[in-house]
Amino acid sequence: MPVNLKDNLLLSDDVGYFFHDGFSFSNDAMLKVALRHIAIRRAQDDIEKIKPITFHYSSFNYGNNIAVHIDAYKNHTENIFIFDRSSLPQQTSPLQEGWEELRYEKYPILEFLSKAAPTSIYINKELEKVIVFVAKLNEKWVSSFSSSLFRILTWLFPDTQPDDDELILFKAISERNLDSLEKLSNDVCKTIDFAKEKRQRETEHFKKDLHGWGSGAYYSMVQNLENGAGNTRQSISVKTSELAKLIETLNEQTMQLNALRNSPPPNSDDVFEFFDMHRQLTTLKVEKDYDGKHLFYLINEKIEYYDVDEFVKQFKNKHSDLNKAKFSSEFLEIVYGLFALGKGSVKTRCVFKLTGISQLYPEMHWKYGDTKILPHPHLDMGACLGRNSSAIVAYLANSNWSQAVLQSIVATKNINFRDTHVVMKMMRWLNSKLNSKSKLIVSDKGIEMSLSEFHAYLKELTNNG
Amino acid sequence: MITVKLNTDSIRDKMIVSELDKTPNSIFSTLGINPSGSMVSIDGRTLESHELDLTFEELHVKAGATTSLNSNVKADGGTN
Repeated sequence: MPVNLKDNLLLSDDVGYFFHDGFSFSNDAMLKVALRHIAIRRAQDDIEKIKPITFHYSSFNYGNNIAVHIDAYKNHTENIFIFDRSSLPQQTSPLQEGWEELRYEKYPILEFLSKAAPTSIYINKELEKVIVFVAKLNEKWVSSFSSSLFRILTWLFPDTQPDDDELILFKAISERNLDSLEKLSNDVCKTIDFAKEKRQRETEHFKKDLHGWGSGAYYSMVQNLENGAGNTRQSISVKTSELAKLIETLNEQTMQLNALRNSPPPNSDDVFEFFDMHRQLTTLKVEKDYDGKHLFYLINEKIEYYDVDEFVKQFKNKHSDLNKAKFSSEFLEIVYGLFALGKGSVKTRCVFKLTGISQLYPEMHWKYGDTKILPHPHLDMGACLGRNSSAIVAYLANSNWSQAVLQSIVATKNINFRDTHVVMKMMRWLNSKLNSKSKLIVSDKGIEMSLSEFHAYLKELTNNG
Repeated sequence: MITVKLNTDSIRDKMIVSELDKTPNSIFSTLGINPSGSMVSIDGRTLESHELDLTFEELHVKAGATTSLNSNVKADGGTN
């Protein structure tokens, strides 16, 4: 018949709070009462001195080697390990240092326990640990084992004898005298207010936990918010940048819109009046496609805008492209007279395409007008406006098409001597016309001349001093 | 008196009332504009640098007329 100890104070939650047994088994009440009674009495009414005696139950079978069982539980804090097996292990190797099998000649404890279930016990007095093997643990064995603790826990009972009060305890267990056990338990619990102590310790524990929890949560929240704020700042930065670009675009569009509103679209009269006014401009044709209407016009001009110093530097440099080309002395005298002395200008031509009032580009390789004069080296030969492009774009952004057209004239009057590749194209083209009768030059007196006539003009100037 | 409609890279259609004995350079000077390095044209005629100091009358502008005075910056073409 199972022992009913459910009302025993030693099994209450308040007392159990101070004892931390490992895995237990179903009919462990007697063993718990015994172990707790011994521990509390030994503390002599001082709860701080209670040194719990605890146990751990296992039905796991590690084989026959006792040492393996000892090793498996060496890091456990419990004092008693109870291995419940179908049969006892056979010792196959020497025990580790400090361990010994419990055997008394005077007290046949194993024989006593084995009457309830075969038992073998190993003890390490220094470590205050006991390993118990029992074949098929049962309630009778638990009572026998519990009543024999004074012979098993040798570090607590060095003389293998309990004192008088403990003797009463073990006798009551042995006799399974529940009333006596309850009285003993009540008496031993009377000296200490376990409930109060439990509350105090729990409060301290909660405080500690709460502090740790609160602290961790606090710093975690700070960290999370910092990260969140950083991400938000980054997002704001990106969106601010995007917004700034949009505002910039809007400002540009607004500026262009205002410019357009303040400047009605040019009618054909305005445009042709402007072109008629400029003698170097000739309108060629109007075309229409999906981009809109295109006005093609020809510019006939003279090359007059260039860097004289840059030309002279290249002319005097024996290793320049100009000199490496091995032009004739006559030709070199002509180009020197044109670009260094400024005694004449080379006539040039180029066709531009004006699309609405939004785009203006040079057109390459057109054959309109006087095709015998120099096609512009940058524009007709390369469709390259250079830095004139930015000026034209700026004018068109403000719908200032007339200034843009004037800038195309500026571009036509220009040659960039630093762009040697284009310059050499011009030189070779001019050189090929050395014997041509075409009036390719306008002298500083405004007289149109062929290259050879211009050379003669230079000679005449030299002879006249 | 004449009306000068001035266009530069920074000024658009600025209407200026002027005397015929004024010069393009005097207009530019009044407005703090330095035309050197620019192509200056008047009514479709590109002016040589010395012509900037000719009076509007000498540049064949007639009294009561509206004339266009344009200045465009000379910029290099090409890629260098």
